[in-house]
Amino acid sequence: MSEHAQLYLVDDEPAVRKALSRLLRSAGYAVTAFGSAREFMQQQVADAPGCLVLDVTMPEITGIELQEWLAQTRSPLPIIFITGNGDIPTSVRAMKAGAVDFLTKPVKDTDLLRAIEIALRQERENRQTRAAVSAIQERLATLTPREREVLEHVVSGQLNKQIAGDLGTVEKTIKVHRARVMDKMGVQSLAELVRLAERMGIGRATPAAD
Amino acid sequence: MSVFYMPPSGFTSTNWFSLLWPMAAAASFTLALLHFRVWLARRDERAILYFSVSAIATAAVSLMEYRVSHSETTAQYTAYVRWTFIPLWFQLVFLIWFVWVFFGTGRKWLALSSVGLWTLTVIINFWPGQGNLVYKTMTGLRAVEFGGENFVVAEGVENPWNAVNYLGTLLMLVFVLDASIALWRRGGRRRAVVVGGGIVFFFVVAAGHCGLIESGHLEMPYMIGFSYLAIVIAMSSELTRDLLHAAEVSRQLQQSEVKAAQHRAELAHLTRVTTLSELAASLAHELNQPLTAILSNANAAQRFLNADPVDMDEVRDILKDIAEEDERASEIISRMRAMMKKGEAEMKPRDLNAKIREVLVLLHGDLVARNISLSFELSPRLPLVNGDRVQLEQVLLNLILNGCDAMSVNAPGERRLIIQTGREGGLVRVSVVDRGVGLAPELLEQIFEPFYSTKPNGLGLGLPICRSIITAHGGRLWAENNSDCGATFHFTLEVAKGGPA
Repeated sequence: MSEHAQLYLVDDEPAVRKALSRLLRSAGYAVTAFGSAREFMQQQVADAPGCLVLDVTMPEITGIELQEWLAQTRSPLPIIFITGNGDIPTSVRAMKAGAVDFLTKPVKDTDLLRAIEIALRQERENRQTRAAVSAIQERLATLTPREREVLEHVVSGQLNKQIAGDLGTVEKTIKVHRARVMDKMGVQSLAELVRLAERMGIGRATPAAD
Repeated sequence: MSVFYMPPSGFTSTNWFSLLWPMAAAASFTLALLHFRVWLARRDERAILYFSVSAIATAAVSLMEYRVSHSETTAQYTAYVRWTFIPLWFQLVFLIWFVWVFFGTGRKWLALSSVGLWTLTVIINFWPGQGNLVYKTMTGLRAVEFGGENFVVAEGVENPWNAVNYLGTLLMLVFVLDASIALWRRGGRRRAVVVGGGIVFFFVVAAGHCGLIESGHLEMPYMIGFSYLAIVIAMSSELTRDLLHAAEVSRQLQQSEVKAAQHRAELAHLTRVTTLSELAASLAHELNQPLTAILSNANAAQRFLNADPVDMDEVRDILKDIAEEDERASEIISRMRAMMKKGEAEMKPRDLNAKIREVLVLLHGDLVARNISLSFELSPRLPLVNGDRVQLEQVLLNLILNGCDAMSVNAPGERRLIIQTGREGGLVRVSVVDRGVGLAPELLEQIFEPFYSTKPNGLGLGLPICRSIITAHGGRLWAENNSDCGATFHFTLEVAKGGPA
């Protein structure tokens, strides 16, 4: 149970909305409920741990349409669908588009809360990954163009000598650059540097040898 | 003049033969009274009234001729014969009217000429110094014995004007014969033979009988009344036949109406069930909502109760909501059950605004699923209408669903349905306005024909059933195109009696 998570609930049916937000509150979550997709879209969603519990069948904008919109806005919010008439094509579509779960009304509290926990865990992991990636990106940004060239050659497995040849300089200079890259990227070993670069998609393609 | 039988002075011994006249009179009179009673209940059947008058006149003729044949003096004889012409005139004139109305045919000029000649001779009959129409002057009375009874026959100079009277009777017979032939040709053979033939035959007999007595060839009392009675019986038998036939037809009509109502009810039930089965998915969804709310509320309550301290206000709120949602679910189920029910129509004053809201309980889910926005323009002081709850709801359900179907091709934002109620003259009107494609002009009526459907899998029974329901309620259901787009279905119903005017 994540006390700080912010849950969003979108359902057009007032009684259901009230009951579900009550249930979520009883489980210790903070809940913000919306009567329509449009209401939710107009709301500024805070960049905090959370997930969206979304009804599929709604007038005007359906839950699936809201999911598409969120994908377009690159929202990281995980989605749990709840629906009155869960037809298979809709659920497949929703799951393919990344929904955490697709639950049928009336929904059991255990099912819903488990799904929420999974969603929040996923969200937390995503958040950590995103944080790590942005940290690496920040470090990458501190490299000079020459250091960046050296990094690319290093992670593609070339020796200092080869790199010096490629870049038209001496081995010693490359050694200095390489030490500075290791330092700036905050890694101790070559293996670490390679893993980090892989994560960022650097050095996949071996520079053309002549 | 009295039409009641009075025994003439000198009447001492009772002879069976002398009883014939009063008996004939009584028979005519009874038939006259019976038919008059019937006429009182059926004032528009003038033939019955004419028959009654003619039959009373016939009774009077029977009594008068008995007295004539028992006259003691020539003066008495003259006076009786004179007065006999009054019932005779009535008998003839109303007989002509009877034939005219009962046969529905006849030449007017013949009828009018006959009546004219007869009226003329009756006036001559009473003209001072004329004696009477039969005898210009009477020379004496002669006693004769007939059937064991004593009668008198007259001796005197015949009145030449009597020929005019015979001519009038002849014209009447020509009129009846002509009308009978016309009726025969039109297929009314039985009536032409029984009534027309009867009149002609017995009048010829009566006239021949009179002629023979008056010319002195036959020495017997006047017995015209008996011929006339035969005519009265012929007329009465045909009238009665008619009445019995009418009663039978109305009984059959009633039966077929009962059957038609049964069929309508069965068909209405069938279409209701079909409609509901089409709504099944959205109804299940609609039922699912309160169930969802109830389950989540109950789960939440369990969790709140485990907390320390327990938030009793929250739990109380939850229980209240659970009860409300349960009621909502039962409302949907009871609406469904009512619609599925196959029962007798129960005509009671109903509030159409309330019926509209009740139908929406069943339709809400479907409207949401179809993205239809519904707006109401309901008259707040709508008088009650008389009707069966289920049937009225069925009509509303059908019209609303049709409106939704008509807008299925519209963009989601353009699916607007308006339900209006109001008063129109002394009637209550309900209109369902859609923003669909509208109807081709020739379809505005065609859609109410059975098995005609504009929908690919429509049964074509919805609207015909709706119309027959509204018609059976004494109202009217019709469709028209809106000036901008879409169509409107209106129906009107009469205000229930006893309700607010």
